Amino acid sequence: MPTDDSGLKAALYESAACGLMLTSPTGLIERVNTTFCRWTGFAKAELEGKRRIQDLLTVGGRIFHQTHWAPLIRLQGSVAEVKIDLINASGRAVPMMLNALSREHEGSPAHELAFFLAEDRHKYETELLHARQRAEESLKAQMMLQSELGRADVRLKIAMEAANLHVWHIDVSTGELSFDNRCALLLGHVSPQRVSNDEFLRCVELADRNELLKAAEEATDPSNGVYRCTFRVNGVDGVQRTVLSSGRVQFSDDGRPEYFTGVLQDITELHEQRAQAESRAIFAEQMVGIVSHDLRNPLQGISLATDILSKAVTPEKLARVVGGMRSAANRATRLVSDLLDFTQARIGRGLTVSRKPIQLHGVLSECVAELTLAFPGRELLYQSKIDPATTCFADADRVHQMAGNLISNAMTYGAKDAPVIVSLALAPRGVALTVHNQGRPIPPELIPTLFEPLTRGAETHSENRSIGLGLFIVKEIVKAHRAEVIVRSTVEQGTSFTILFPDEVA
Amino acid sequence: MSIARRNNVQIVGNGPRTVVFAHGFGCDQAMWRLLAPAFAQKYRVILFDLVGSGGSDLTAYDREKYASLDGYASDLLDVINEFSPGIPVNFVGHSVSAMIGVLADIRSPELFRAHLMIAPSPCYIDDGVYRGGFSRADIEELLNTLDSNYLGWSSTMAPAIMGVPERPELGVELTNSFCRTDPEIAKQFARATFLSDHRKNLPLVRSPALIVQCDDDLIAPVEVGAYMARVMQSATLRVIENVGHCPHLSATDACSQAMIEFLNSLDDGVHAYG
Repeated sequence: MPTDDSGLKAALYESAACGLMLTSPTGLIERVNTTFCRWTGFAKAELEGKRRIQDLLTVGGRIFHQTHWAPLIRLQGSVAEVKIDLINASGRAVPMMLNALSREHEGSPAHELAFFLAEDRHKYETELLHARQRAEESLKAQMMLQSELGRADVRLKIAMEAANLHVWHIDVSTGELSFDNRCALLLGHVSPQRVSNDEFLRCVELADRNELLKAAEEATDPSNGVYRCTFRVNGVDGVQRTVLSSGRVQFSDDGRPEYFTGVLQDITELHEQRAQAESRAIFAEQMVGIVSHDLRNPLQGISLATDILSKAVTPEKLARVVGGMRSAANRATRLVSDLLDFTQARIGRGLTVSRKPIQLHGVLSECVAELTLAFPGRELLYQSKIDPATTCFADADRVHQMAGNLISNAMTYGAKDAPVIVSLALAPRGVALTVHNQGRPIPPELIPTLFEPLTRGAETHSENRSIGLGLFIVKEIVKAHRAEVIVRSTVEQGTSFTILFPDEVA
Repeated sequence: MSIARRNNVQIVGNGPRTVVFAHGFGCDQAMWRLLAPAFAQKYRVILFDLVGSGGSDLTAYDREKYASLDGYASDLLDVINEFSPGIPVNFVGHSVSAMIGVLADIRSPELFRAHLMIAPSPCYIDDGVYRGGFSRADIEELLNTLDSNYLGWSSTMAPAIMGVPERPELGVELTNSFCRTDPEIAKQFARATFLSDHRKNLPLVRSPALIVQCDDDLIAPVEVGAYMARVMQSATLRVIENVGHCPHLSATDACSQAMIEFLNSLDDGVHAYG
């Protein structure tokens, strides 16, 4: 039934489920179906033979048409799934999908166009576009944050390095301790490297480990939160370092520790400096105490003697009183000159020594005679086994001072009922001066620091004790003479200090 | 990276002289499919894709470099130096590529023998008495179109989303692929193209130029061709009958005839001033 068939075709064309259009190759609309007109609001008569498809496009759409769709249809003979906006009769843009074919109609080329409404797809695309824009924006923000974070990290790292701080962190859930790689430097490694929990603890001085762990336990108490502990670390390079570890615990609202982190700082130098400063301060205090006490005694003696003198006494008593005064004045003088020498030696200039050829025998005879007077009631023997004319390259006053200090010590710490013996003898490469006393030996633990200032014997109540500078000054004088000092001290042999003066001409 | 790979350079034909074809905004070297064969009979023909289009290497796309037409001009100089060393070329540029040729010529005039400009425009936006064909608002709308229609312009998104991976009745070749671009690149290229103003560069070109102007072209109106012919030192204007911006596709014969006549006049040593 040809007529029915053409009726069906006409109905299909006019009311198809899509807009249909036939245009010339240049775009002039030749035929358009009812569906298209209904969707766009145009009357057929407004379009057919009057308008070009380009006229229904937005400006952007026209450029798209010219640069994409038109070349495509020329080259491929068809286009598919092109999305465009058509301007409807009331001027509104209606998004549509377009398929187009180029085909001959009655001998002349024409374009067949099919349009589908794409409002939903358009919405979907718009949503997709917005989602993408949002994603891009948040990515950009994220990247900015990340790069800011990166910069902050670098700044922190530089600051940490500048301050020589090393970060540690305790995972509060496992208790595992981790370190930044530069902590390896504290353990004596030459370059930063990974340091494990175990390796670190192994290096911590055994005696300090418990304190370290205890401090950590205390810090995790919510009322505390502060970690501070100083401990010693035995480095793989054999160097012991003193390390200060300070940290903080951050707690969650319900009081559980969340973060526990802190820094390590090498305070070895600081520690040593502090110890030195402390010992100097203590030393200065003690010295002032001793000096004031020790100066008071002879001065009181002199003062007492002047009282007696003023009351006109017998010649025997006078001689004794004057002797006592001389002895007290000598003690005070020795004390003051020791102090002076100590100060000079201590502030770095060393003792002033002026060496020239002298006869040791003469110097010592004089010294022994003087000290015999200073220690009345005590026996002081002098034995010289060398030719009295033997010369030695030395400072007579300093040798006198040194011998005086040694004899004075021997009198103070030696047995009261045995003589102190001073002797001179030839040694393999020079002359040996020895001061010997009987009595309890010097405790062995004192020997290593015997010549340090303020090292004092156990019996400190004797009137003749020194302020502990005597042997320090002996050492300084020995050093200035390039001599040597040897100490021997046993129960059987007693105690002897031997100074070896080298054979030296100039 | 080789220039051949970067710009997807194809060489056909033989001849003592070389013609380089550069496509315009939107498509790729397939645009020359109808026109190039005629030239390949007499000339060595070099075809290539602008970076970001067609078969070019997308990894070479550098947003900074291609933010203006200068980046494309550098690439054109690379292509000529590489594939026609020492022999000045006849350069055929469609639309925006005609201006890329102008910029390249000003930098290295010794590489160019002549320019054949198909539907060129130095400036798309009206400016005082100058009629470029668009207002700034029009161009803004175009850029918005690129934004809102990005699925349609994308090279991979549309088929997947529509659930139509293939259309057997259209065949393998008919995938719209040659006009599809990464939407971001398309947008930036559109910006570089439609917002550019190279009017001041035109008088600096010394090589002879042919302007193939369509009598009905939305993108490059007749006034634009006339303007160019007036300000250039040595330009011939040929207006051909064509609706649209791609006379090499829709008025192939008229277009190629104008071009061949122009090239012949150069070969004969005669240059007709238009």
